[in-house]
Amino acid sequence: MADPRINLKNPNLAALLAFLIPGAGHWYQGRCFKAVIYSVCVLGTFCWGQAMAEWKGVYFRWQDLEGRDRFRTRDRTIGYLSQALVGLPSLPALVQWQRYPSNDADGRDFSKLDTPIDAPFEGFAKYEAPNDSWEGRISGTLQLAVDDTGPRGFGPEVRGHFRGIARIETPGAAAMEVEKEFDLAGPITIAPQVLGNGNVTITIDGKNRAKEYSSSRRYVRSRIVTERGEFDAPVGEVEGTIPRGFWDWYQVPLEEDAVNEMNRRLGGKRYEIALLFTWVAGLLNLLAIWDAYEGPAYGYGDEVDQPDGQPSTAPPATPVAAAVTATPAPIS
Amino acid sequence: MLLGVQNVLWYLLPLAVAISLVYSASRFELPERILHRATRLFLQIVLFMGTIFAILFVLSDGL
Repeated sequence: MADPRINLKNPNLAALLAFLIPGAGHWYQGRCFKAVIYSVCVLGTFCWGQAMAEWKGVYFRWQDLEGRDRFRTRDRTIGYLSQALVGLPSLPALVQWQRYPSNDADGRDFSKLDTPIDAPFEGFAKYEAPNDSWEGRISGTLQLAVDDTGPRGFGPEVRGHFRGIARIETPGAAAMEVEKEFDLAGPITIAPQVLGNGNVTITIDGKNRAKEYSSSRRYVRSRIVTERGEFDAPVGEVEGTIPRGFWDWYQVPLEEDAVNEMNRRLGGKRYEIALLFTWVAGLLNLLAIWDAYEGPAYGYGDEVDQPDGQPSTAPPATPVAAAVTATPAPIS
Repeated sequence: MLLGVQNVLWYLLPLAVAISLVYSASRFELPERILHRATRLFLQIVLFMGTIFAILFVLSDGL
């Protein structure tokens, strides 16, 4: 039973608000000091943990792996049950789990282009036309789209275009930057739009050109083609990454290699401590939710402590001096 | 050297501050009582963790 001096207003609504945004329930009740404490401590702990984990410490995955994994039978992020108590800041993970392409066994396809692409591209290209051969790092704009009819009537085909700058390095000479423009055609390899991947390794021509860690970049590989009569002739290959939108990687379940990469790169126990922060934040908010619903557990805070573990008592309603000088009632 | 090598442990101090404040705030309503109680709880946590750390540090000496 809450102290009558505390106005809990509508406790159910306050608890809901406290769950959704730490501190909001107490703000609604007019308990602003506690609202600030809960908000700063819970959100601060949660965000600090997220920042330490490069904003990849909160995600939800709940699936059975029977017949899909030799070593595990289930893949469940138990820690999310605690993170979810922080409310809105962690709830996108549930939506991302639904959007995540590999939550069914065959849901991931690296050869499918879901939506047309027109994005800045960073990567490598190798071009081998009869009278023009070069290779090097390229950056520019990449366009890819599915041509449903196919340019030559062979059915749907991915086609595209690149325009940008190539940095061409030749042995014994200074690197030079030249403008390049060429056509692209399938088959392509492209990482799914929604993915929490680990490192991206660029391996044109069997050579590891670059390794990039980020789930905020999306891997793309395609052939470079030129028109020769009725057909396209492949003259090279382009491989690199395009940006992945914030909502296509944030709180998306991390791939196993991404978790390993994160542990290796951050070093020590940093990733575990980051997760610990987010878990503790959720558990702390549970206390705040209960406080919004039921009031403080021990009382208002001005109770007089009794010795030897006796229960605390409320302060006297009248001043002690007045009580001493009061005239005792006659005994009848 | 210990302070530098074990720097990840320093993250536990702000965590202890947050835990102390939120726990105390969930027990009482008066700001002065909350702050007083949180300070005491924080010191208890730090003392406890420091003691455990010291014991483990001594036991692991030479390993």
